[in-house]
Amino acid sequence: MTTHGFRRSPRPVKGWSRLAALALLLSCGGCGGGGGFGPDNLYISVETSTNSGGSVELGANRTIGRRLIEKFRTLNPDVAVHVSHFPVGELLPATRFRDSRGLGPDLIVSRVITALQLHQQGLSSDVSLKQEGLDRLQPRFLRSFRKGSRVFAVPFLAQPQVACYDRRRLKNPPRSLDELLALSARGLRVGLPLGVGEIYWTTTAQGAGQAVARLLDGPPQPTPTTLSAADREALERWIAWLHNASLQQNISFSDDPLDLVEQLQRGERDWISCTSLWIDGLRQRMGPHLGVSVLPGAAEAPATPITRLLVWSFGRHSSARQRQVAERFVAFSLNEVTQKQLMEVVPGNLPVNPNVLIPTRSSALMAALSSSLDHSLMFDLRDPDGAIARGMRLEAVLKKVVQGELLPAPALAQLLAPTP
Amino acid sequence: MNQLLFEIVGWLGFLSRPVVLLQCLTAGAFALAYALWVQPRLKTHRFRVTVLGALGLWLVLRLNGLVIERLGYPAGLATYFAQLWGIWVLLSVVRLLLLTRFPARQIQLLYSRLVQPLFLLLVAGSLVNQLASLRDVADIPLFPLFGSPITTSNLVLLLTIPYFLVAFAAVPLVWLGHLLQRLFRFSNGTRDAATLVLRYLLVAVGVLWLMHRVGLNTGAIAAIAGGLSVGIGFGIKEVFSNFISGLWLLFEGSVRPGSVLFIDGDPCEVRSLGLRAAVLWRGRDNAELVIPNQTFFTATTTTYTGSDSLRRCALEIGAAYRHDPAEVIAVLVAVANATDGVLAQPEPRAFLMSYGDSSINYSLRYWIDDPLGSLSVQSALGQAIWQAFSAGGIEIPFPQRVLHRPDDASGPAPSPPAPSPDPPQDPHQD
Repeated sequence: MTTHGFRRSPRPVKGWSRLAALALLLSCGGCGGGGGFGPDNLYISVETSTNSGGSVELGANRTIGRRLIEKFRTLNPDVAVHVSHFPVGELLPATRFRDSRGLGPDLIVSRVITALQLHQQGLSSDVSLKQEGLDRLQPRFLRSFRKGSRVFAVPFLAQPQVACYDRRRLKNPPRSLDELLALSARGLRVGLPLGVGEIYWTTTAQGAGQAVARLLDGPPQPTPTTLSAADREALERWIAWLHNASLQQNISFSDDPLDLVEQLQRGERDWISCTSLWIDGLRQRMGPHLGVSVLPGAAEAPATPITRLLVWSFGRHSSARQRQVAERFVAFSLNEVTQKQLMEVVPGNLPVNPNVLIPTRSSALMAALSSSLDHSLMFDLRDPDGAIARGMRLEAVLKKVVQGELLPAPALAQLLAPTP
Repeated sequence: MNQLLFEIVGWLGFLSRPVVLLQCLTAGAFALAYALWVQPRLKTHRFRVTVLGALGLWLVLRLNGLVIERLGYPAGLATYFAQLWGIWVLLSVVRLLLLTRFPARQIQLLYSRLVQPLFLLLVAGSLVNQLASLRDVADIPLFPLFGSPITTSNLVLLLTIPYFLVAFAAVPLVWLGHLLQRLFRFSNGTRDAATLVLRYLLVAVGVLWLMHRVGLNTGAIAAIAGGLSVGIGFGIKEVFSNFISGLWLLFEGSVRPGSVLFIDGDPCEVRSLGLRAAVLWRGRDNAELVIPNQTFFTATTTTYTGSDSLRRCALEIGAAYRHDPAEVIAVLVAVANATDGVLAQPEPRAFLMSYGDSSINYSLRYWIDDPLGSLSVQSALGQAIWQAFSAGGIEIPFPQRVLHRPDDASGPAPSPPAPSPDPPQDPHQD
């Protein structure tokens, strides 16, 4: 039977050559790193800052990645690092897609809320860094990622919210919202974002921060949000302030932060609220004309912005060797020298390692960033998916308010109404 | 380019993951078993059995994915392999169905030029998308071209768009040509010409769009093209000459696909008018003639399809002297009228052409509407005339030579050869 089978087989040599080629291919890939002859391959997914995904905005993120990889490879030349970039909103489905194939990344750099989603959906695994590695981090940054004794993400860099302005048009930046309004009345062209995370700092002066936080981290969708009378009043005050601001001649709102940045670059705006990740690009285009300051708060209290925190999450399907390399990479990114170099190379990124000194005395930019980071808030969200949905709902209502479609009172009623 | 190679080689690193290796090894083992053991045994069977075998492999690959998933491991890659194979099998089945309704050659062309390249693109794109961010890979700069960096996506576009413009645009344009023909009542030749011109236009617009999309520095291209135009002009002027001639001929309408031309004494049908040359079909020996467009542009061309597709033919025949020419002419005309393929209008006519050595020679002039069918009509007509002459007692004489031998008393005696006073001379000597 066997002989007969061989006789009928037309070209056995071709078949065996295919088998040999497949075996060679598998061995080439499988033997990478460790005792093998190929390099270790580390796969990193990076969440970029906007949905636009344009190369304009990707600059800073890519610079960070490139510098980090270059430095790491000087010590680990046998590691090949492959980086994939995904816009906000695409990282999660992309990771889920690749994870279902065992092709998920070894490491993921994302915002906090995405890291929470990754963890909740089982797309990231617990951090197994040594305690000495975790001790390098500021405890306030790590709090959001602790679950009992386990940690599911590691902070990497902080990008606080600041005010960016054109020095040619404004010598002294406003310290309070009233001052900002007064300046706009005198002709200062102000640009404000509409994203909840970016405009949260304006709640400080109205005392509505807690109310907004409760709206975002509220109960599941169909249940109406209940606020105390004081919170309701503060929330209404805040919405009314936004409504009044939208009526000002020189204040405009945009739901795309990149749009505001480009307007400042083109000289169409004089003062905008921006995340520090844009500073590098703005400085390259505006040079010494770019001014950076803390955001205006109340008369006697500084503004409380939300800092954008970049965090590391670990993938689920790494081989033991890849996991080891990934941990080495994360530990490397958190050491004092690396954190200091990243802060210097890409201005706007602050270290999460408390042992790194931020040069606040020698640099006004660093002083503004540091001050903003010190006063910033970090949400401890229990339900990231719900928070995103509620945030989008809040943004939709605010958009109608600033466009004159909705008055503050009905806007408040809509926010507190149960979702259908 | 180095970065692209770095990424591609780096993807092999996924094989160091046990979950990936498991999916690849199991799917690869099943595919190999099919290729080495099942497929050779099915080759001798009917095609349906082969398709069933392929479906069997798809089922096994799908089951492989389900089992891996059941074991708690990621199985998306195994399922992906099954999906790819499933699509391939589906395409094969569709091909079988199409073969029952359409000519095999057309289906073969459709698959080899369009379906299989598209499938290849699908496999390549989806595979890259499994392994990395497709956008990142697409944005990898490879090399500069005319001052613009060519990225992976640009290179893929540069390689695929012209191909698909040429290969794929023909199908919708043929439909459009038929639509225009219905609307404006074009002739077939005009329709084919319009289709070809539209195709050139589409390719030209597509190439311009591609250059814009890729971001090629058009100023640099124009400068280089200007500088090289003189040199290139001398080198490939024939190509340009043929191309322009082809376009001119199309607009002029003297040579179009479907036209019948007289080439070296044979009627030939124009099959296609390409960028450089026209392809003509010669029915006599089923040969295809590839003739540069310029030839038609500069030389006299005889066409049967210029203003109409009628062809006038002539058949020469002789009849014996004893028959009344009017009677013979009447028979010839009657036979022509009764023969298939001979048009009634313009009506056939016969003429007395000359008084020959052994017969009176007539010429039968008749018209046919298929310029390529001349020979068969002539043959049919010749047979019919023979039958008619035979029935009417009309003789078709043939030249006769009467030889008289010297001992034949009935004939004149041959004269003896005259003695030659001079020796024979060399004819070349004067």
